[in-house]
This record gives sequence, C-alpha cells and structure tokens, in this order.
Amino acid sequence: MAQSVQGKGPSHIGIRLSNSAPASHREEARTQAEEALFGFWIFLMSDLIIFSMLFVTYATMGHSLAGGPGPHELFDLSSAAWETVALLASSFTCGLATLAMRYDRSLAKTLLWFAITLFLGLVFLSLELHDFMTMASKGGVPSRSGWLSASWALIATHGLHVTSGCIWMLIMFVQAAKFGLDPLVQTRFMRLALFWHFLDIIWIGIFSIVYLLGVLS
Amino acid sequence: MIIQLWVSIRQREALSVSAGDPWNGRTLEWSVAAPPSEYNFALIPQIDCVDAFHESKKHRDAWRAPEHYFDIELPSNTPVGFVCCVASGVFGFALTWHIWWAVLLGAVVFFGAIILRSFNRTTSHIIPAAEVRKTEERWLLTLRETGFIENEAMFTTANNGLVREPV
Repeated sequence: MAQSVQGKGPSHIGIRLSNSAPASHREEARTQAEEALFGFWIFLMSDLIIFSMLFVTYATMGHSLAGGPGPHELFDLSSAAWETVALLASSFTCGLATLAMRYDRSLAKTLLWFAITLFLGLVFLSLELHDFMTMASKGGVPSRSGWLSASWALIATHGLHVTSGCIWMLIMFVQAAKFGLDPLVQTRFMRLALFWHFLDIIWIGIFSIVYLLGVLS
Repeated sequence: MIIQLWVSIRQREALSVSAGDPWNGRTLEWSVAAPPSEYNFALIPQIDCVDAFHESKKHRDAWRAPEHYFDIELPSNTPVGFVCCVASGVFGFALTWHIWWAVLLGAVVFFGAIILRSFNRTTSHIIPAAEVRKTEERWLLTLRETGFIENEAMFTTANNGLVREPV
C-alpha cells in the first residue's frame, strides 16, 4: 500500500493512473477528472435544493393530519433504525471501495466492496418498501393528508435516488469488467461514491426529522 | 419558410456568399467563411473592443492568416440528445394521459439511450492542424479572388460575400 502512495500521479482527487503513463496523459486525465467531479458537485448541490424544499414542505405540514393517521400509528422506529444501519454501513463499504480503487488498484477488491455496498443498498430498499406497504395498509396513503403527502414525497424521493444509485452501480460493474479501472471508470466510481455519501446525509436528516421527531415528540 | 428554402436551394450557386461577409458585418461571425467550417474559428479570436471585426477591417488587417495552425478537438455528432428529447416527450405525454405502455416505452428509451451512451468512449474527435490549414488556405484564396462590390449591389447576386468598406 505504502508503495503505491509514493507514486507520482493525480492522486488528490482519488484518481490514480499507472505510473508508466506519460506525464502529459496524467495531466490531461487529472484535468478531465477535476472538471467531471466539479460538475457532479454542482449537480449534488442542485439535488440538495430539491431535498431542502421537500424538508421545508414537510416541516410546514407537521400538523396537517386532517384526522388521518399520524407518525405514532404509522412509523416503526426499529425498522427505520435498521434502514439507517444498512445505509450507514453501505457508506462505510463504499468508502472502502474507493480506497481499494485508489491505493490497492485492485479491480477485484474494488468490485467486492461495491458489491457489498449494493447489497446493503438493496437491504435498505426492501426494508423501506416494507415500511411503505405497512403504512399503506394502515390507511397512510399519500392522498390521505397534507402531512402524508409531504412524508411520502420526501421519503420516496430519497428512495428513488437510492434505486438509481443501485442501477448505476450495476452499470458500473459492467463498465469495470469491460474497460478495467481506467481513468474514466475511476472518475465515474468516484462520482457514484459522492452520490452515495450524499444520499446517506439526506437519510440522516430524514431519520432525525421525520422518524425520531415524529415518534418521540 | 418553404418559399425561402425553395429559392435558397434552387439558386444555391448564384446566391452563395463564400467569402462570408455579405452585409459588411461588424461582429466576428462575419469574419469566417460561409458556410463556416465545422470548427468555426481556426484560432480563438482575441478581441479588445466592441465590433472587433469592423475595427480590423477599418485598419485593413482583417482576414489575416494565422501564423500557426493547431489541432482542434470537437465533440462528435450523436443522436442521443434527439432520442432523449423525443422519448421524454412521449414519457410526459403518456403520463398526462395515463397511457402506461407508452410511459414504460418512453422511460426505457430515455434511460437506455443515456446508459448506452455511457459505454461510448470516443465522444470527441480531433481535426489535425494540417487539415485546418488546408481548409483555411482554400478559403483565404477564395477571399482574395472575390471582388469587392459596392453597397448598392448588396442585394443582388453579384454579392459574393465581400462589400466595399465604408471608411
């Protein structure tokens, strides 16, 4: 590991080319990677605006139950806690995947950690789907009240993001198998990792504000 | 519009203004050939005033050949934008009118096109400096062979894209 850290390469953003590549190629790859990652940060910030609006809508709808079921009847805190565990663990394994990509340069190791990340993502999604079905069976459908519309919109938007992240991961497996860990595949994995960590942060907001505040207050 | 297309195509030769400056323009888009080359400018123009092309014509240093030519990288043509446009249109229309098979079709084509595109590794191409030089020199030769016309002849077929300068 220490040996590969010493290698001169565009490493500060997590992309590493083989040291045998000519300097001009490394420079070009670094510029392209920086541009791609910067663009992706802008996308993430615009996504953050969407989630902010959904959070604000949720906050203003806090008491708009319209006589329908509320958080005490609908939310299962232990299920939400397991979802949190799955997603936090997946963020950790996602971090290990990027470290394996950057320092070990091992395709097998990188893919293994991403596969575990995908598995945890799917665990999260199935728990969430189960939650949604429980909610609906108790009469907590989106059209029932303002509060329910706002919570479904917020939680399901996050769930859709996690679903796209899982599909993205599957596509990246195919690309990694086809192209190997070349600079483009690496920057795409880096962007996927950014996306995944971002969704984790959003989930912490949802867990604290929607579930914890809803059930405990 | 149909009439315009009809006349433009039928009288293509007579109406062409290959020198590129048929209206004695002031701004940079008139300083290149008509139709312009794929890369537009052989060198990215450096300007230091409003109406730089007009100024350079006044000082008689417009249409100067660049000292060096460089390779130009351009994005390659792709149908993905058009495919996504149509597919998302179908998707939105079908959602509005509850045509579920078309919703699915639109979504699959839209996302499928983007996913397929992500496997394309050559999304740009390089025009070598030698080819840029050839294109530019051919145009500069045309420019030299084109006679100036007076302002009054601007709207006639005598206009080949070069108008006498009002100094």
